[in-house]
Amino acid sequence: MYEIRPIITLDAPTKLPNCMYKLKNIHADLDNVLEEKSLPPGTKKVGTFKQVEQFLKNIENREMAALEDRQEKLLSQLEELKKIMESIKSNLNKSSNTPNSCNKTAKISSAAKVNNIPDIVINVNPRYPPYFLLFLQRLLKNEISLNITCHLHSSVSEISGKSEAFISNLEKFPTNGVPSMNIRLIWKNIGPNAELSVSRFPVQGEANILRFLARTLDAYLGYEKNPNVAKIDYLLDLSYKLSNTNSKSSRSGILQCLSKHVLPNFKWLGGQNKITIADIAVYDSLVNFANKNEISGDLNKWFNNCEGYIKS
Amino acid sequence: MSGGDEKPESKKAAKKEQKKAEKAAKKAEHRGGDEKSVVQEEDDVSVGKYGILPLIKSEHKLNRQYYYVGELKKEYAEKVVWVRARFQTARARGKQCFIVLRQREFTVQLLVNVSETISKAMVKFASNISKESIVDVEAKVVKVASEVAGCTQSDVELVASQLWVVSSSDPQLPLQIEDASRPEKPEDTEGLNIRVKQDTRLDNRILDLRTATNQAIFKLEAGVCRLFREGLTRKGFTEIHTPKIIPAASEGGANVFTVSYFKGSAYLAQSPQLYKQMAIAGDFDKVFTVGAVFRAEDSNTHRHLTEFVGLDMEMAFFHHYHEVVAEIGQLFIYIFKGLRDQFKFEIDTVCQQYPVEPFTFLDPPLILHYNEGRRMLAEVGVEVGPEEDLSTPAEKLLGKLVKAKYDTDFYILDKYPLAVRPFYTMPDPTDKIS
Repeated sequence: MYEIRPIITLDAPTKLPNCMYKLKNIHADLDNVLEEKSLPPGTKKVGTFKQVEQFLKNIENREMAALEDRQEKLLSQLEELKKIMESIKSNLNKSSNTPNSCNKTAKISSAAKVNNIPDIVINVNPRYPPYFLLFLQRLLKNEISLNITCHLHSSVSEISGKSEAFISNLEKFPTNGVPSMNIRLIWKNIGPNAELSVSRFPVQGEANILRFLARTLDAYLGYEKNPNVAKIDYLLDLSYKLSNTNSKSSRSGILQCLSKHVLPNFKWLGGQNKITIADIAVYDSLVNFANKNEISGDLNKWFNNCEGYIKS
Repeated sequence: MSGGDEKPESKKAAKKEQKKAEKAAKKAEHRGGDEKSVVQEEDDVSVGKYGILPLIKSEHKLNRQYYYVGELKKEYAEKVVWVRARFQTARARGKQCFIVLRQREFTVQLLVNVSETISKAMVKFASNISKESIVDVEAKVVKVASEVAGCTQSDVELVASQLWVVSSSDPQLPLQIEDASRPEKPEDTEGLNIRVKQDTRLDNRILDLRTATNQAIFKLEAGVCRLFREGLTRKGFTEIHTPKIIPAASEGGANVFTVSYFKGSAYLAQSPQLYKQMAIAGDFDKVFTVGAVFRAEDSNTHRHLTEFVGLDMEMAFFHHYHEVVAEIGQLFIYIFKGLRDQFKFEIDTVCQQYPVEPFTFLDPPLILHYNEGRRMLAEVGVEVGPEEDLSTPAEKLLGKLVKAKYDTDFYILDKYPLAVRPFYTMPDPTDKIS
């Protein structure tokens, strides 16, 4: 056939402004037509010609072209799928052949472990601030920093001064470079017990929240390997009971029980040299549910230890 | 009643007599003429205390104070008040007639009781007033021993001394206000299940608008606009009004309505976008606008409307777009708090007919990253690609998941993938895909 003159000439260079950010070239898929700009004029013609051809083809047989396009796409998707399957296959073979790699995954650093912790949402009644968080911040300061964000739920219009002081205390704690864990604290109109929700059913009560955290952060808070595990559990139960009693008489009964666990020569409850989650839970319940004048004797000494701990 | 009222009253009485005669005649005709009206035979002690008022033509200026039904409370007990309201229903029981008067969303019970000053004829007249007529009532506010069920003013009732029909309505109404305001209880199959269909409602919109729910809905709508204006004005925003008939399509994508404009044609604005941006470039710094938006989208979904009222804002920021996100978040919280604290009555009214759980939100608002949202969806088995847009079902599901976890109906999804954002948005310099 004889050659016709190109219908469109694309030799005028387009000057693009540089005051905006660059966008991906949306026409680049079509034969890289626009990229050919820098090529010598001979080859450019082909580009234009092809473009025109494409255009005519589209007009004549648009549906067919669409179908072809779709087929091409499907085929390329299939190809991709195949590649993915193959890579999975080879990965599987590798892992089954070399059991050593399993050990490697088991030895994930503590940082990676922390990354697996789900985001935690704790609902609290603004009248009963979750003091246990102040302990956790200090207890975990070298391993995990608690990234706590506070929200006010629509069921409460304002929070008490007590809780505001608590929040400023929380925020005062410095964060360092350790991996962080997200905790969202929602002040909400609920019962006196805090609720932690990870799945559909909430964990109720500070003691049980601490138990949950002890299991998820086993390396730092775990108490189940402690020889006094039963005692710690008992103390946790007592603290939960304390948060659910209304009468003064039953409260004093629990307080008596608690003071029995303050042993001489030991700084923390249940004959421990190191602070445990039992101390944290009991302190939390005492501050929120008992009067200061009800705490006396040995228990008071221990209580002051706790106060000192969260002020450190 | 003051002395100034005497003249119109005698007129009214004359008119009333005439009407009564007409009515009696009509009744006689209706019943085949075999029964004589009792009313005329008796000596009526209440003449001049009831009847149909002549058409108001602004002839007289009556110095009469009307009270709103909504303000009638225990504190007004023993006071004689004038009320102008709609005659909602009447229940006649021998010598008594219980009437419910309605003004906007408020209702009060009116008692017309045969006594020395109230004749049997007046009670009969009261019970025969057609529903939805406008009536003028002079009555004494009386405390009630037990709450009046079905009225918003439940601690008082009115005891009538005068009853005048200002404007009588058609006795045959296309829909009953009671039916149109019946609560929707899908689980209740035994109860009365009379519904007014949507087309009937829309064909008779003025009647439909009289239901307490619709009154409340319009109040809420107005409240949202007021709170939007208030919240932004407080933050130093300027309200602007933008052209609605424009020479060219303003924002690409959405289709435009063409209207003829003298010799040529013009378009209805699909967005105030360009004008807001002009205002920003013109150093307004922070602007907002409330106005009609038109989009020629021929699709029948909840998310496409050809005409709606857009609440739009635009602001310049210093360094990070999060400044804008925070501002918008605070604005929403301001609106939600305003609705919660100032519109409890209206929300409860709507809830009575269409039961719904209370709206919940967090302050400051919950901001989730797109990837967090994807992770939450993946946990329940819905995979969304990192550069993929959320489908409507996925979006709804995510809303449910967020509600279950954080108990909030409002949250902000940040870091939406670049691929599904409008082309003119700035890419994240640290993340290729968002």
